[in-house]
Amino acid sequence: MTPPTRRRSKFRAVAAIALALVAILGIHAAGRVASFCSPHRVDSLTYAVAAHRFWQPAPGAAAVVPDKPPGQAVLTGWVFRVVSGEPSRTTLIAVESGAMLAAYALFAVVTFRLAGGAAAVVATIGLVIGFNYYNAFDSTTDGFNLAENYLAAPVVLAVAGHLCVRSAGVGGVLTGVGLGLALAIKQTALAVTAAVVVHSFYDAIVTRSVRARGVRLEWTLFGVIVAWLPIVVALQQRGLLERQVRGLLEHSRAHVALHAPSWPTAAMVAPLLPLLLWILVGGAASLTRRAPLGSVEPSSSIQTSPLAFAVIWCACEAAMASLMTKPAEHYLQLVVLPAALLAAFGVRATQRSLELSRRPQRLRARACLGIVAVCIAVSAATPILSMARRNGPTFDSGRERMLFDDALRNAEIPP
Amino acid sequence: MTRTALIIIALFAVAIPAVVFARPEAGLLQSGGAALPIVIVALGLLTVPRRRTEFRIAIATTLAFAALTPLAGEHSPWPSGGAPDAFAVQRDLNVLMPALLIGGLGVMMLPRRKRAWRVIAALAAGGILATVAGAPGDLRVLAIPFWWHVPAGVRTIRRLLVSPRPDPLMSVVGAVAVIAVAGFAWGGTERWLSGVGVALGPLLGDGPPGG
Repeated sequence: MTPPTRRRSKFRAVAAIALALVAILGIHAAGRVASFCSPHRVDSLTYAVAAHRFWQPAPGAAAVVPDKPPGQAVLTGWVFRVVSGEPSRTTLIAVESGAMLAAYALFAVVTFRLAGGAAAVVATIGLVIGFNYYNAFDSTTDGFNLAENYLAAPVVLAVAGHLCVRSAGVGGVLTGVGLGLALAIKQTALAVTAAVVVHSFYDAIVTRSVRARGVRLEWTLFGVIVAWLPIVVALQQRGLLERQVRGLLEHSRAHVALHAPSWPTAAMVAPLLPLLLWILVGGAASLTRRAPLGSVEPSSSIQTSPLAFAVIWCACEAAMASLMTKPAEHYLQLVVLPAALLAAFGVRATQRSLELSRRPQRLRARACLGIVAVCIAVSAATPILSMARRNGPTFDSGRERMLFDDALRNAEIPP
Repeated sequence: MTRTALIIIALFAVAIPAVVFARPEAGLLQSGGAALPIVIVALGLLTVPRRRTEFRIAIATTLAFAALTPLAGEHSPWPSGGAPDAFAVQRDLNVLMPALLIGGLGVMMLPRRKRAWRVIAALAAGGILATVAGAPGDLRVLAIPFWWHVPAGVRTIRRLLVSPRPDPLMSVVGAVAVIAVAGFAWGGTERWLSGVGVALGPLLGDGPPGG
């Protein structure tokens, strides 16, 4: 490559990353405004109050949300001790956004290592749209301060440890810590846990490395214990451990049940369209050419099949979402993560496949896919902006403090 | 069919719903906005390439997409002085999306030296965000730079779908573009058909429009 060409391609890469960052931050900000200023204010207030109580010197039984693990309260409630001023939901905005941005960044790193730069950009933007859309348009509750928003970062950490770290010890512990934190935040993390276990068995059989996979799973278990230990100790110190365990055992089962299978509605699928486009085209590319959908550079990852993991993970999350008894859109947020990973592999497979095409057709196909992807992404993202514009002006800090005070005065949190 | 007849049909297709949905309370400026799609069609026809096939493509796409735009946002510019309803803007954007998609593809296929159009396209995209954010304006203006390049976009999709050397992946890519355009055009087509139905109602004995 000649120096001017190299300079131009560098400039393009920097411009693309800058544009992607602007898009990601813009969609995220709109999603947060739409969710925070939602008129419902149900779950966000409940979990904020529980987190505030948990970090008080004498938390009392009301610091426990009976049907949810204590992870969210432990990981978010400290902010009420650090930030001065009257407590309210607004105190949690920075913590929630920090957790979500960390999840996006970690996901971008994982997809960059597994599928390359272009795939990372496309999949991360799709992830941000899907996450914030389901959050902003939840029909059952408000999307702010939900467990799913804090769950994403540990889940992606677990996936990073499982797919991107070659060392059994480091990879296993990272996976375990991620799974442990995720399970401590919400029980639905069982889906990604099941995916890791099933994929480990699959990989052990395919690669005939039963012993190596077994050792890795042991390290994973150790990581889970490492993540749980401080939380269990904190609960025990506050005298809440028994109550929390009893509450989880009593109420968890009420949230899941077997339903007759039904097709998802158009509104449920719409936020996934930017990702489904690449899954479809990438699938076609791998079927019609010699570019397997999940192929990765040998040096960039451990010798496993990330595609198999993404498919298993997607199936597990979809099954979990279909088992939930409440028809809440935010349950689908966790399906977005594996769908985005699959989309990243789709982008990579499409790129490789197009490299084998003749130049004029390649240029046409690239332009066509680029413009379709942009149009679908814009179409999926604008409802979030619209919702932010409608809900944003209703923000009232005084009312927020009053609502929080009222909720704090109430005795116990119903399951 | 002669060029004059096609132009008359195009203008008629645009004018019917525009007239039917004209709001009596709208001011001069707002009512003038209703004529914008007609101006777009006229400009599109005046700049149609000379080759016969491209002329047909231009007419077909102009008819299809120009006819949809007057119904966007009840065909009028948003209320003056106040910010537009964000959900109306979003709906209008989806109605314009087929033109943006195919026209955008035409822009992408321009020779490198002519890609100043990309700047216009970027400005148009900025305009979309500004309008969603509350700046008063008319979203239909944003379709103009893309409108010019719809024939080139259609030609590109056709070459992906029908090639002398068949390539399954290219067919999939072309089909994806067609499905996307059809999906985006669905809502606008329904609204256009209902507008034509209302307009033709009195002729068919269904009473006066809007009654």
